[in-house]
Amino acid sequence: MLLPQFAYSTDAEPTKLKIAASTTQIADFAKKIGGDDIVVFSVLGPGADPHTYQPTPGDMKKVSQSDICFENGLHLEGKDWMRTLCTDAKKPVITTTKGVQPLLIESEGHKISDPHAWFSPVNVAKYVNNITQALIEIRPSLKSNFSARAKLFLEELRVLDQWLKELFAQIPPDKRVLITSHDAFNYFCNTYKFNAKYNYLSVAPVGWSTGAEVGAGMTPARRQQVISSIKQFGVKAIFVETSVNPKLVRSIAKDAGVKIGGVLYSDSMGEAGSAGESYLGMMTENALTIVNALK
Amino acid sequence: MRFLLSTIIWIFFLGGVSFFLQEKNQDNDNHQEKALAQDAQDAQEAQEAQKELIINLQATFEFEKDSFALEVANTDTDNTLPLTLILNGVPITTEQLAIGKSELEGNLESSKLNASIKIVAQLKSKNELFIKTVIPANAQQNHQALRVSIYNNQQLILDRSLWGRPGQTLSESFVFEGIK
Repeated sequence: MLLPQFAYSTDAEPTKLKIAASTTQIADFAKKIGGDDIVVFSVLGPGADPHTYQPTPGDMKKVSQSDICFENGLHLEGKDWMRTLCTDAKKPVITTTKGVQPLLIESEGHKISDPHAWFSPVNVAKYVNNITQALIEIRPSLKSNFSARAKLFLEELRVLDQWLKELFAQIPPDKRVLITSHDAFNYFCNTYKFNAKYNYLSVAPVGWSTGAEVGAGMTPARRQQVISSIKQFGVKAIFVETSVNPKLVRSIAKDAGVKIGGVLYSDSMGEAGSAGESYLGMMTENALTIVNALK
Repeated sequence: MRFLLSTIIWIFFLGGVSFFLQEKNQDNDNHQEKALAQDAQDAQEAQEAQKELIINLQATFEFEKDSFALEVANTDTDNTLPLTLILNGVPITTEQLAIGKSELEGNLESSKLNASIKIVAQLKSKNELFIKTVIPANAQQNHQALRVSIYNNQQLILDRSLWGRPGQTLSESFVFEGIK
């Protein structure tokens, strides 16, 4: 559907708005709202890691050709690379998580706002409102188109949210334990009531970021905590993520004697042609993978 | 003799064509007169129908702010209210409501059983009211209902119930005739 990563500068009509999005998710949201009135370029490609990404000269060129930039914010983009790219190109930057009530993670004495807000469809409604507002401000003549598409997408998000709640109700609450590669699933666990013993927060051997920020990365203590949790709660399966090297999770699965339940889309969506190439598809596939492994 | 016969045939032919055209023009004039009279009658009816429309909403659930609402500035509908109303294609804004916004919000928030919305609107012979609201996801019962009663000139003209589950959107377009 969207995001051939460099389809941006090809045959775009001059009247179409050019959008640069930092992640595949944000590019998908923008495309749902902008439709054929915009051309979207995602800096990150499918499977890429936003925490450790290093922008290329090609990214700089495409950002400099855009009308507006959308970033996730909350330091998802390691060292704020998207903001730096767009500021250097003198392009306006919109933080799409504005208005989201962030989950605070305690780590090494610091409180960190979890940036993986898209794992709750209610939060995605905030992304949608921020993107729609920005598009209307930059192209007021297309207000009715942007608003109409946004309303449809918001209804799809509502249906997704209800569908997920009903689907996960099939897993007994004590079996609803989600262990993944890194702490990307806090909003997901909080919304759909996974990991009750951990205050409905994510359990992972790697912190909120795969980069070198405070509270990020893997520590031996976190690794041991995950193995203990698996044994204590009789976890049936743990999960690897598409944007994180699976090696660590595979070694934990081996040590704890538990199976790999499948691969989850997390910090970026799937390749073009896969079910996970859109946000709705990504969430659907993740949910089915989790339910089939834990039920 | 042949010339005379030819002349008579021409006279009959031209007379017939002339008669046909005259009749047709008269028909057109009559149609135009009728259309003008109908327009005047419609305008008068519309004037008469521009009276109070009362929409009574009785819900088994609390009206709440919608987490999935479009909230951008300068939109046609008032997204701060948990209710969308569109009458004959025109969104009903708080300015058009006979009661003020705060009173409406008060009605919606304080009573789950009854919200009465009064609108002064120019009705047509056939009207369409679109209504949309959302059942909160945390509503207790499995099934919830919204009863919609529309009164025009104090006469009940529509009484319907919509059913749905928590988290679902209730939306429907009601077609009703204006009271003359």
